[in-house]
Amino acid sequence: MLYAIHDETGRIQQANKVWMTADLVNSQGQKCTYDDLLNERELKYVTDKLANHHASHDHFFVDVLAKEPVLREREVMGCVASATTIKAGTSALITNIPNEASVDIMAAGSMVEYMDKVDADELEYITQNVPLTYTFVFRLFPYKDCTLQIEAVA
Amino acid sequence: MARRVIFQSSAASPLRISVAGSDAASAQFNQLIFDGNQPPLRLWSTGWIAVVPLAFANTAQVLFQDGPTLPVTPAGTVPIFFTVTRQQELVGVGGGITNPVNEPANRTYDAAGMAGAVFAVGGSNVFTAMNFNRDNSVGGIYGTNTGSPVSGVVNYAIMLNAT
Repeated sequence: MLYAIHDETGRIQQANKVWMTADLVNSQGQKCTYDDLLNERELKYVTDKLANHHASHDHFFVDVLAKEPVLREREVMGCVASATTIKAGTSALITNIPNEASVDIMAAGSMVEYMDKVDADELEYITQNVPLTYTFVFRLFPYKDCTLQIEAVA
Repeated sequence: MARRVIFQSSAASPLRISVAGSDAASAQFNQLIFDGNQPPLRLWSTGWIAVVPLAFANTAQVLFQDGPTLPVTPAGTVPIFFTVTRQQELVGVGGGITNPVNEPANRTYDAAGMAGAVFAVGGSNVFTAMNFNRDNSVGGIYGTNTGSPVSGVVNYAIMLNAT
């Protein structure tokens, strides 16, 4: 039985696959089930008897808005770079960005810019006048994070 | 005469098999290959815990994250934890792979100032994950956590030596 423990937004923080039943004891010394232990700690969780995975938080989330919270696969974010190689000093253009996604922009091993919310469905980023490879990481839960790389050449 | 195998229903243990040179009747635990009275280690559960790094401004040395896994076992037995920390790559970079090696949680963020490691400890029947990383990325400096890629992940397996 897979137990996926999540926060109020549905992000999975821990997952535990229990392979056998065992005599567990709660904090009062009484025999109990694993569900009882989780309930005693007031943890939010969903279960899946048939899951053949460990509910990696990269790929799964708990849909807390559903009538009954349920484990679902995170959808792929469809951001698209107009070109993966551009001339240094020109603009990189990324389209199809979901509304209110955040973006981290990294280059040369450092984060060069962070936007909490991209307020349009496209992002035009003016690169520096030197050759660099830029990594854009778009995030909007429960989408999977989307990472794009654009190389600015001389 | 050293008997390596004792198979007797009326004995204290119905079946004992010892290593070469030891009498199964008097062999100590580490001289036994099998004892019918000794419960084997059983795989009770496998799983993972994500531990976010410390925020940039947090002055604590480490962030703890208790696991929900509290296999309180019968008296005289203890759970045994096998753990390994997992380096988590940015999805899409390097194939979005995870690396089962104990390293700082994320190399990309590492370059932005993260350093440290992720560990897990098991004690007193409580499984606890810890993260020594510090989020010095722009998001961390602003006080907002930029999400799961900067989390450390601890994988574990819990074995029970109880029936």
